Amino acid sequence: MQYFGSVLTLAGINMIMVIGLAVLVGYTGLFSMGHAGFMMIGAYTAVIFYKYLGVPFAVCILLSGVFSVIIGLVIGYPTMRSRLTGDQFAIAMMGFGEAIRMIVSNTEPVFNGALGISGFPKLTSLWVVTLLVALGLILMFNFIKSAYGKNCIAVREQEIAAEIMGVDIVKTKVIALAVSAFYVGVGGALFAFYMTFISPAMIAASKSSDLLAGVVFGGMGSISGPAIAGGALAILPEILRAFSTWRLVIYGVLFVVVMLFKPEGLLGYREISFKPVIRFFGRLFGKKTAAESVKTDNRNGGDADE
Amino acid sequence: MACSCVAAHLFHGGDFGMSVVIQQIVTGLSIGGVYALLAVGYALIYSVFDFSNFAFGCVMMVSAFVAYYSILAGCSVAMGIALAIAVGILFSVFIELIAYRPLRKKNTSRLFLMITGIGIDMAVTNTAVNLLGANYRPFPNVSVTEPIMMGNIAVGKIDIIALIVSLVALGILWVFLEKTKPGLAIRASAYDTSTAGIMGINVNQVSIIVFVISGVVAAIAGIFFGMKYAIYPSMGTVSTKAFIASVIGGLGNLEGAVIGGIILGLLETFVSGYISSTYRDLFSYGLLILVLLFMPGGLLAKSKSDKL
Amino acid sequence: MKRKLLALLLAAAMVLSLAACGSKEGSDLPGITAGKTIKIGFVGFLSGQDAYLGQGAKMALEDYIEELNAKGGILGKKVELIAYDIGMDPNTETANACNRLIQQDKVVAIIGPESTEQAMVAIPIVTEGKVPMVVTTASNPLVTVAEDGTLNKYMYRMCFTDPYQGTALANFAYNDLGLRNTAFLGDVTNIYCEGIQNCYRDEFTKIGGSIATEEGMMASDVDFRAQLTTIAESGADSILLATGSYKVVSFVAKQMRQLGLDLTLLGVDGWYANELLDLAGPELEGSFMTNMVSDDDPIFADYIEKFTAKHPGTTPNVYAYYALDAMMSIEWAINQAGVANSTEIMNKLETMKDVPVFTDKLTIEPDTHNPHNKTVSIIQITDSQFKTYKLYTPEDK
Repeated sequence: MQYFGSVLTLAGINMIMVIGLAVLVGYTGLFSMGHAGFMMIGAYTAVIFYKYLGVPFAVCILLSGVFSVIIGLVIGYPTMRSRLTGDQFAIAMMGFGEAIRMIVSNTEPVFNGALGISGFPKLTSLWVVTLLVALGLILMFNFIKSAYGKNCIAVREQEIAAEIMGVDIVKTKVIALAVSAFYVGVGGALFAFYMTFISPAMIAASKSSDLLAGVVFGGMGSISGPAIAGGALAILPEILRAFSTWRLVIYGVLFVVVMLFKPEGLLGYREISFKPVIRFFGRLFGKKTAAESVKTDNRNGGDADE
Repeated sequence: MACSCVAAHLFHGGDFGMSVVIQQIVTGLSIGGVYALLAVGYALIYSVFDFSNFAFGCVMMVSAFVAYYSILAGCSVAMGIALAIAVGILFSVFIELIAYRPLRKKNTSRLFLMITGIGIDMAVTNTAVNLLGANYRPFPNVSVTEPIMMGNIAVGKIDIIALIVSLVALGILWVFLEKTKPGLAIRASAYDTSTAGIMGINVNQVSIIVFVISGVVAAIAGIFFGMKYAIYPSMGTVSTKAFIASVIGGLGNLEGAVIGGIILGLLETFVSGYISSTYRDLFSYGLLILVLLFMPGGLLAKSKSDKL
Repeated sequence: MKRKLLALLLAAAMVLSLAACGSKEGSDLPGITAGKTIKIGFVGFLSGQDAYLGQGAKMALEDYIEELNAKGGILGKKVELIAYDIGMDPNTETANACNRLIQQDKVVAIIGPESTEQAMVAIPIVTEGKVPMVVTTASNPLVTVAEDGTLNKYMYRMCFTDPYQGTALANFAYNDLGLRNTAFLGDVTNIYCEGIQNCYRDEFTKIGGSIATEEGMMASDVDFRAQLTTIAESGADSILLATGSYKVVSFVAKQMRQLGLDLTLLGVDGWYANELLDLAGPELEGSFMTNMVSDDDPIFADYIEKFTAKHPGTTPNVYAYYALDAMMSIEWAINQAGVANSTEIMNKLETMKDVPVFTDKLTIEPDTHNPHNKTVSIIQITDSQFKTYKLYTPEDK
């Protein structure tokens, strides 16, 4: 049973990171090939604060997100301001990911170079991860529904039009990058505390493509889609062992097929809605108000309370 | 550190130090040559269609493997190279027809074209890993390790051949673009694809020509890379460097691509030789970011009318 | 808001159901005792770029266990090998595979993985599960002894460690080859390379040699001429190329030739791959390297012949030999204990003294869980072949 728990934990960690990346890639339309860098930052931040400074685990997780955001702002602001095109930004992010890996693996004093850091307990449990996935989803839905989230979509659809309408393009993009950095950083921290050992080689550059695959398959412009895809992509190879060597081939073919025939991905611009479920329960207990209140809820952008 | 070292060589290094610097420059040019050739392939497609063909690296790899297997199967080296170029052209055009053109017809965002390119690259590269094995193979029947000595400076035979062939290829490309009708059509499309279409230029034909050229360039680069180093499924990753070079030179600008490639090759060599190879890519990406921040259009930024 | 509450409730329900499942487990027996069959786990690279590491080992283990079962197994019980591949995402898969082997398959011991990184991931899992892991070629000292000096009780190693190899090579270079000034060309972001370089430097400078320069590189590089030019200028008489990538070795050898450099190239066991000789056999002529076995030794000939006959197109490699060593050690420990229990196996492995295993006689150092005084083979590449040049056995300290 613990084995399934272990696979589910890793799937949950992947989910957190993929929904983070979904804001940047899916919602804002910025392609990043270097988010493994944020995962690395998150992992090392949490481990260093925990091991050397004795900071409690929960605070470490938070700090790892905060640190990723800070680094994200530092690289995000200049790149966004200089208006890189999509492909330039993708390559710049790839450079960032590589740079982080190089710096970490070459810094002996704190990061312990290639040897990495070990000797800290396993604190990431399925409980923690499930809680954080739920929390992450709720916060993300709120972000998407907020003015910031709508700006992101506007930037993706028509950058110039959005700018004319008064959307601060640079700010919107930087915020999207910061949010994604936070989620991926937290994911990295959870990963480190699950493995109880962290080294630069553990977070390979291919991790960036794995995260991207989750977003592309799940749907550009959806949160629940990438969340499901992110989880599924982490579990699938465990179920289909034979699948493992052909995984990247299948990913690649699916990239092309999805772009050609269903660029909106698994769920497209939709979200999984609990409406039918609530309606079902409503009918079951004869409470029509429940379904109706949800309807108004949706119209108001999901933030209205009853 | 780099500067002080180079300076030390220049001022009191004497003959030996100086020749080391020259040796490093030769090496840098030889590395930069491959980047330049590939960067031209990126620049050409970018100039016409405003997107980067990230499937470029796998065309290079496939061509190199065609040369490898056809020579092993008994073809002469020249025949193998010809076959490699033919397959490079076919594969490049195939990608355009099956993936890029339908997407452009739908007027999708450039992001989708990029994801498609990356997808093709992932699929083809990993298919090669699975079917052929990730092993490194020497280019058959070609021995190029013996250097030509010029005083203290060793110049690889293959580097000289590669330099001559690349120059000739670029020269032909230039003449083609400047002096022929299809070349004019390409330049017109690069200026403004949709207006060119309205003016009666068959943009679909232009796209085929552009991808044919890019296939030839990829095949030549793949063959030289294979001769210099080895042939292996992930050899296409070198095209990332070429992409950086083309961005540094100015996306969509052919001269810029060549200059960007040479600069990147020299930078890498001097960083590896005098600072640390471990940080080499940090410098490459750093230069990329600096160029983008201060000269967003690249070193040879030109107005849109002067593209190509 | 309701929707969010529901989402939370669903999530909570999922956790609770899993936690409920989890709590059914939990026996207090020390470790795992085999049932009808004795299950042995194997974790290694069976697919991907590094598949050559694990595929031969798995075949060798399967062949051996087949023979063993034909002879009646161990303690009258049949032996079963359960192998999991970690070729796709090595670290994550190692964690999953070890959990699965222990929790679900109930193995009494695990063989593999081949590299230090993955062995490190496995330490907490096997320690918690009280199942010994016998690593084949993961050579960093940290695998068996943690940074603070505590022994990882459940970890055992069949090969010599990086320091051991680095020290042996330094002595050989100084005493036998008369080299005095070595340059390093290595990937310092690689644990393996860093470990060997550090020990070579310590030993070589202690006995009187010096290090000319230390040049870096990355395993993904293809061009090393810039570093080689700097090395040539430094006045070195030899280059230590501590890498696990035969591709790097072949490129360096070719480019040395291109630059007209004639320095002695010193290598390590990571060079050992037959592909290397196809790529750069002539260019490597005369280079020296350390290795874990000398399989040009006639005592291996029979086995290699038998193996190739059974698996056409493949030859066994050092990873296979060490997997067999691990298997034989586990077999010996079970026989000694009289019961196939994981904790007992762990305890007995420690007491191995001159036990004949596949490659050699094996003695385990109880305080480090490393093999004692393992022989280092010094190999020279001659006529595009790996030829044993000398066997190097350190004296007792």
